Amino acid sequence: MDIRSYGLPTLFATLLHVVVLGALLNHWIGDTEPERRSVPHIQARMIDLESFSQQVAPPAPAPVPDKQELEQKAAQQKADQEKADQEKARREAEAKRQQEIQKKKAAEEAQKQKQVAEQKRKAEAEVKRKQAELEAKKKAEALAKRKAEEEAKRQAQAKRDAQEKAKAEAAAKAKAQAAAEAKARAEAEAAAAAQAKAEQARRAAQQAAQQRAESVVGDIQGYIQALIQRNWLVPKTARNGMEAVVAIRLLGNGEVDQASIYKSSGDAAFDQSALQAVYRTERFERVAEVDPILFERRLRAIHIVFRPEGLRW
Amino acid sequence: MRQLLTMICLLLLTVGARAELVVEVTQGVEAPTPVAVVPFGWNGGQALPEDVAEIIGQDLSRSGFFKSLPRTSMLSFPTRQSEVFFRDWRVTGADYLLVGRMLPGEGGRVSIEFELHNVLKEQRVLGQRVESDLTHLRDAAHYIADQVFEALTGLKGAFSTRIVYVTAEQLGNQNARYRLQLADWDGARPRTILESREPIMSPAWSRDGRKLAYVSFESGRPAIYVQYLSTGKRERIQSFPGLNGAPAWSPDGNSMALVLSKDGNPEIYVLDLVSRQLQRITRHYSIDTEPTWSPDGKSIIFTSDRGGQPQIYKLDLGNRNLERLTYEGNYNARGRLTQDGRFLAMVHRPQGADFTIAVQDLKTGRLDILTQAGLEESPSIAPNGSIIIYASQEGGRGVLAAVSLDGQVRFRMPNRGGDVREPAWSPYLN
Amino acid sequence: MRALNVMKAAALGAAVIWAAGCSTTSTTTDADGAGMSGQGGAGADAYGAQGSGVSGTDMADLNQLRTVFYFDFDQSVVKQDGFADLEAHARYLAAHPSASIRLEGHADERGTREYNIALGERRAQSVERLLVVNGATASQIETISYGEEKPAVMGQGDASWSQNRRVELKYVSR
Repeated sequence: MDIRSYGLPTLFATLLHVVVLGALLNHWIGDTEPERRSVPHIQARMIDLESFSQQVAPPAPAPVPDKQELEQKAAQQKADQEKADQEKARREAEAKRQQEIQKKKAAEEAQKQKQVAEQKRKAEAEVKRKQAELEAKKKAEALAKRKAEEEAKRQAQAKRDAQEKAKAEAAAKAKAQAAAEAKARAEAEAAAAAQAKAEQARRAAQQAAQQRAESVVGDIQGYIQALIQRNWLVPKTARNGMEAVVAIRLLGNGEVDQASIYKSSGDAAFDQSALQAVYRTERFERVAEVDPILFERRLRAIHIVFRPEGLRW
Repeated sequence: MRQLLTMICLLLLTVGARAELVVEVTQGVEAPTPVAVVPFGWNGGQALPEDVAEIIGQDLSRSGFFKSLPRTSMLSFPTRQSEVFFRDWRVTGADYLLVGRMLPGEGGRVSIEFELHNVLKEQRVLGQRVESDLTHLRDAAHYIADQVFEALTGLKGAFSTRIVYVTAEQLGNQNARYRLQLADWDGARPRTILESREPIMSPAWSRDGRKLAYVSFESGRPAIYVQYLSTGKRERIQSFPGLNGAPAWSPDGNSMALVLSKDGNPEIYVLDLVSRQLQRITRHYSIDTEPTWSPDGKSIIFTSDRGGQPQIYKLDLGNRNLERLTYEGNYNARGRLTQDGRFLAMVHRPQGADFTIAVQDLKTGRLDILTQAGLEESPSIAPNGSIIIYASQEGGRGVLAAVSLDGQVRFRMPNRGGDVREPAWSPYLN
Repeated sequence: MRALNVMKAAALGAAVIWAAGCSTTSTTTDADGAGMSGQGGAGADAYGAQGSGVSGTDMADLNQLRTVFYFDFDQSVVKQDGFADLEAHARYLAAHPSASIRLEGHADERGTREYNIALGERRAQSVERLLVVNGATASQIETISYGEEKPAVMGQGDASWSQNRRVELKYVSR
């Protein structure tokens, strides 16, 4: 009782905690992740692409961007467009300022540029080489892939063919079997019908015999009841609802051989009156007319239930 | 598997063969059981003062349970089993047969040997020898009737019990004699145990059958007295101003319910007979009277007109719950319960008729009128619940009558003069 | 004088009905009691006829007053035809403090004996209340009930029974 009474509140409390925790976790995870991703990328690209794009044409060879990142970038570009536009103005101003500085530094730079150009050339060559390698590799891979696909297609077709063939075979087989079964069934039914007919006839005969026996027993039952009711002196102590059962054994000629209280009513006078009703009757004459086998089976031992109805009390 | 099946089949077969034919009997003949009480043999010289067999037969018949066969229909008068031809008695219509013989002893002593036989089963049920004397043959007869009654019904016989009642005799203007009388249950052998010029009322037996309580006006006012039957010694136990009436002993004998009007109008009180403490148990401006105890002593049944007419109520002494028991008729009073607490006998007046004795089955609420309408009153029930004795009137005089609980058997008690009233049946005395 | 008496009778009647209302639970009883007033004669007329004979409280007059008062079955309401005499008895008792009476209540033989004893007592008390309302002192009055034990008339039937349902007023001392 007391434990059960705490169950529901505990459940609610736990659920509430889980919901709150879930909400918090969702907040942390859902908010922090995009932040961590977008901010460095945007900044990195600003610097790489805008500030240095003109001098340093391709920035450090970008490693082959992985597919996921690209997708993310595409998505982010759209989202970042506004920010980028705002930045653009600032960046243009910055570019002007830098051009001035560059002009000042031009002399120093000229020398430096030679070095840079050399480096750039080298880098470009390297990039080209790498790109060629990559393309070759891609081509080979595509070829292999096509081949594999073709092979898979072929195999799948083969498999389909095999399955269809098996299906057709099974259907044919089932059809044949069903036909055989139907035939067998029809044969069995015919046989059963014949058998049932015979059985029915036999049973009808048996039933008729049984009915004759039952009707004899029913007759005797009513006859015994009438005799006992005529011979039962209901005592003063009898009350509605009392019940006594007298077990009697009869002789073949219908005489009462033995009578005893099988179930007492709890009232001595009542039990005694029931026994006296049987003793007063002495003999059930019509029982003597009953077929001896039937008598033996149904009438030798009889229970008489004394259960008065409609008494005053 | 096959073995199991055969076993089940065999089992079913045996069960089928064993199922006895059952015959249900719901109707019978509601009539008393016929008994033949054959005159007892007597080989003494002088004539006997009492016909023992006659008294036994009468006792059994009056109980309503039995019908005693008249002697004229008897084919023979056997006095012992060897002389009994059961076939003859079966033809005569007797279910049971009582035979006996009386043997004279010395100094008026008499030995009575009796046998009770079941005619239908041709079997002896009971056999006894009773020692008595010529002056106590009635007692012996009632005793034998008790034995037969108990052997055949399982109920203790009440034929050896007594009754008390009051008689009034008018001796001229303002001159009357009131007597308290004690007699056998059948009214025989009456003797006076109290005589007064003023009214005597409401006699009540103590549960041990040794004392009587009653109301006497001998002092000019009503007072409650207790009298010992063996010594005649009496004691006045209650005499308040106003009413002092309707004494009723509790089943344990330690208390007495009574009616006093000392507080203004009749109320029921319980008097502790040991401590003499008085406890008032009803509190109503109507008449509350005629208390009687339930057999378990846990409640008191009484008459009250708190509903506008006298009706019978039951007050639980434990939780003080009050329950009205009677609703049929406009006058129900002086209730008395059977020892099993199931039936309430009372004075009942149906709408637009005179007073009768009725019995109500408290289990079903069914009410049955047992007597003709008249001035019937004062029902008192035998300790075994079989018979109700009551006061009736005949030719303007009070007489005692009795009726079986089912109203089937009624008879009047002999009246030896005077106006007879207020019978009270004793408890078992042995 | 006559008009005064009629007024007194009316007041008395009201008092009795009130008193009866105290002693019994049944409203039909009260109604019956009031309705019964005509049965004993012509009510106030009967009173006037009887009452005119009593002007004082002398002993000689006392002997002419009624001393038995009758009731209906299972009722304890004093009938109106007895009011005048009861009032005269009350006047006498008020004037003679040493006088005392005994009221004996009775019932007819119908109904149970103990219930009838109670009924007789109730009738005696009804008469007692009437006397006290009219000036008698309670200590001058003693009541006793005999129920159906002492009938005035033997025999059955309404004629006998109506004679037996009564209260008898007896002077113990005058």
